[in-house]
Amino acid sequence: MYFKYDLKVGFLRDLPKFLIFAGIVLVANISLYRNAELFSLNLGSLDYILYLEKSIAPFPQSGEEFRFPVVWYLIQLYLTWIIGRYPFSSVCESVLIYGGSRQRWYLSKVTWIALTVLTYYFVMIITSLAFCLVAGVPISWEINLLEHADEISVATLLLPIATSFVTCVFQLFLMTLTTPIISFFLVAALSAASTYITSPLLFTNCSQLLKLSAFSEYGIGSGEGYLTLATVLLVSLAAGLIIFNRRDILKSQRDEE
Amino acid sequence: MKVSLRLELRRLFSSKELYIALLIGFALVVWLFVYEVSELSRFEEQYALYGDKVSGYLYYPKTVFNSCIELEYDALPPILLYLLFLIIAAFPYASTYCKDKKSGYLKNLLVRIDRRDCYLSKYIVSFLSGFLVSGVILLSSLLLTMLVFPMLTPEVVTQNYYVQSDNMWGNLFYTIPILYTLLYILIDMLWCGCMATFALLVSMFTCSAFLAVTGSFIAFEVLDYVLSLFSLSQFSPITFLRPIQTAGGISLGIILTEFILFMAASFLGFYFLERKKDVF
Amino acid sequence: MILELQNVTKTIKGVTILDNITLTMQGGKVYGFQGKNGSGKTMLMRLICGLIKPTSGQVIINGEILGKDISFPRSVGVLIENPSFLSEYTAFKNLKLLSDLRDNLSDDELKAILSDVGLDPVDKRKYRNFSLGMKQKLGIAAAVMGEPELVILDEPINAVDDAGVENIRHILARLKENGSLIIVACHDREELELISDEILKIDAGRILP
Repeated sequence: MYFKYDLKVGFLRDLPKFLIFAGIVLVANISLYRNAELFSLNLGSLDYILYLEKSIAPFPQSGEEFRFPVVWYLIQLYLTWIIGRYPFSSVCESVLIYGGSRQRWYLSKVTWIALTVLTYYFVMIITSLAFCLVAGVPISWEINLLEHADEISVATLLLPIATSFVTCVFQLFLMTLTTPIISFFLVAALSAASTYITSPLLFTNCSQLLKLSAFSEYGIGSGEGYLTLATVLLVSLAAGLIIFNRRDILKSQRDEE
Repeated sequence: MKVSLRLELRRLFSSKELYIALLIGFALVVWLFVYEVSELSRFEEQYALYGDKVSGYLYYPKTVFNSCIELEYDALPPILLYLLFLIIAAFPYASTYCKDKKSGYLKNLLVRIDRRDCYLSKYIVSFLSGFLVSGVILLSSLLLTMLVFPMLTPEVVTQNYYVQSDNMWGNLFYTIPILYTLLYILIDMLWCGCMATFALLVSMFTCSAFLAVTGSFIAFEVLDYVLSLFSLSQFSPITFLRPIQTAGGISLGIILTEFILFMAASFLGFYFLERKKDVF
Repeated sequence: MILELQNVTKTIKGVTILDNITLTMQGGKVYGFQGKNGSGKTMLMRLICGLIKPTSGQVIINGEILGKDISFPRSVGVLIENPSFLSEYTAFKNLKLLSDLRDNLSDDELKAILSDVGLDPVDKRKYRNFSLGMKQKLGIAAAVMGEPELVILDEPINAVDDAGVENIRHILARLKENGSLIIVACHDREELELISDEILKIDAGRILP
């Protein structure tokens, strides 16, 4: 029952936020289109989608200068912002009590996160495809933008989505420990740190395509990535559930809009 | 005015948010310091063994001016600090207006203090919170680094410094580096104060502390990205805040003009428009 | 409905808020909590709701241990401190959202509840534009909708006009008739004596004999 509430209040009411995100994606697409024209690059639609998730190659192993991946970071940051706003704004007593269970409340928020992350990436893909159609970019599954191993598995391409989901669940867990602002700050710092350090321990690395072994010889393997994500997901879920279950709701923690 | 200003200042200095922000800043400063000292000892050992081949460049000892958090360009803590400075600056105080609206405390204030004084003191203290937090963090890094590293004048030919001689105040950096560093810290302090007042401006539209603190940060990030697309990064506060000047074309004129514009926008919005709104 | 508190103690940061409370309450009765500010009334109500956990002792509702067998009482309506609703929704829409969580009441039933507390069911005003009294009435409507077995009301007549207070009395009487256990905390002694079957005095976290 909580999920119905989350769907109405946390998701449908927040749909306009995805329009802003579509705007950010569109600006990034236009920027890539300009560069493609300038450098005569032959890019397809998949390139436009991967461009948003590519970030930078492992630093300093790749030998390239460190250039902060603004596009990737902005996309992650905006998702972190959407996730940070809602869950603990609905800890009002009535909602929590009427739903009947703390565990169900928490799991409903995890389901809401899954829905939000999927919609986020759906908006990203649809906006990019729409841009490609309008701009006359061929719709194709070829990857020309990034150097890569012979075959890229679907699992590798789905890793950024899985990582975003796990990061948001981790953020929810942090919110049970601290406040939405501090947890937002910590996740923003974690994402920024992972652009600089390549390690499966900084699991947000897994949402940066150029930090994966399929695209870089110093990158993280997909299997290793999924294993790390599964561990973080399980720990965050278990710890979050235990902490929220024991937490005293002393006063209304509603952070009204 | 004195009374309301004293009241707001007391709130600022007794808020745990101020100390959390400072703690985050100090953590980054100490992290960088430990990293720099360990790198230094590692480098010295290598240099004793292999000489100039180690760095590939002309040997020149590490100095304060490429080891403090303001001027180090090759480590994670300064990247994190300058990226998240806006949140750190806005966190201690900018959300209090939201909290006051929500809790009804604002009404208590407004019936006891002149409306102008109330809004003006909130604006001033908001600016001061960003100004002080950034200043304390940046100066502590400078002082901590000065305990260990020498204050040798930077040499261009060593290529150990990110600041270019044709950057804003480039000549000053290579002649009186401490003055360059202190002046840039002052710029950062002013801008962090400005960004904190911008978060206060966001709180006009919301009762959510989360939105007030993070909303302005997201807005500045988006601005930074859009400006970078048009090769106008020198106009982005997030870019020109870093004393190493990662973009070309930064000038004092740009920094001050934007500072005045942003301050005027937040002052006009908060002091003139918000003050005239009905408080329910 | 039987509610039992067995040696319940709550300590927060070394301060004992509730001190070894043992109490049994039954359905079909109104219990009034009386006590000074900070005596522990609200904390006791939060504890009965399951919002806070006892440091020692247990709360048993119809044989089920709160926090162990159930997170919250199975059928409960609550108004504690300031009611909180979604500011951009109307009274009806706010009630509808809450009702969907548990009771699934029909639109007509929800409108009837709003009328009962003295609010206009077709009022298009958003919650943020409500007066304090209207917000309180909506809080009461949310607490009593679906006629829960346990109703907990903290200062229900705060900011409510005379007609509204009369409405609340009627609603509580109806709930009592239907067998609900009602707990009310109120600083208005006369009002509390009027609506309560039994008054429990609380001081420094203890129930006075």
